[in-house]
Amino acid sequence: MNRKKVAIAACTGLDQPLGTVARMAAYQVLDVLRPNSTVLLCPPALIAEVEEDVVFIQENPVLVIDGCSEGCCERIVRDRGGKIASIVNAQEIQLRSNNLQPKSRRILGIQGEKLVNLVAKQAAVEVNRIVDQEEVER
Amino acid sequence: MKKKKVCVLPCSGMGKVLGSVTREVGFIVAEDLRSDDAYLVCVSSLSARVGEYAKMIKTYPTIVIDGCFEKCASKIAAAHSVNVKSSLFLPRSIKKYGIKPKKRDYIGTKGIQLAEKVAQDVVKDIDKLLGR
Repeated sequence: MNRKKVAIAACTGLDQPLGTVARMAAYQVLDVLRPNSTVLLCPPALIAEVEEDVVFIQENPVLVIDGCSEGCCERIVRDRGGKIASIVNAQEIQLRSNNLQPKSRRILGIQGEKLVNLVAKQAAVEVNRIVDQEEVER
Repeated sequence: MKKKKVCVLPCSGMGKVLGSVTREVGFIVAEDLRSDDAYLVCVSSLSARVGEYAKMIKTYPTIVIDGCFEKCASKIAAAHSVNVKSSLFLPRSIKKYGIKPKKRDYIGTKGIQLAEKVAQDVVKDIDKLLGR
């Protein structure tokens, strides 16, 4: 039986540097930290009802990485019936981490990169937890 | 009288490098080239009903930038009955300029070069829409 993967849905926000932080953290989880247990969800594709992304949220637990307190990505996944297993919020991690400030939404700078790493690490921990939980429930 | 503006709606998709390039195009236009004339519209905020985007895209003409063949930005614009006046399609821009970026996380020099070229195309459309 195939193991389910965790679908990573990240904020694709353009308004704030935290949108870029969430995006980069998602790539780090997908490409570096948990490549074997995750799949990437593309929020604009989900909104546009691209079949692959619709199936991802129907068949996999979703880990949302939101940028700020607006929680756009969470709303998008929830509105489309996705099963959200966990939410990591970059702004909350920022507030717990000496208020690390990304330089801009285009260039994150040293503090922004540090924040990306922290968000990605937290997300990787959540991926492990979700995978373990899925194993227990099987 | 309220100043006429143009909305720029990039797909900002995550799966392919082209989505990341559309994002950079939006930033170049809205921050560097036409900061007084362009509103950068966030697809996620628009769909999550956050902010003023739904009102903006109904008020001003919109330029859509699609990254891949799914054309999500165009589909989302259509779902919101947006007044789309122009649309750019990155695969066509790649053919036109012969620049192919590779990585979706860091678009690199080639990605920036392509984004700058496409941003110039967006600016031409903005100027046309604003009657310049």
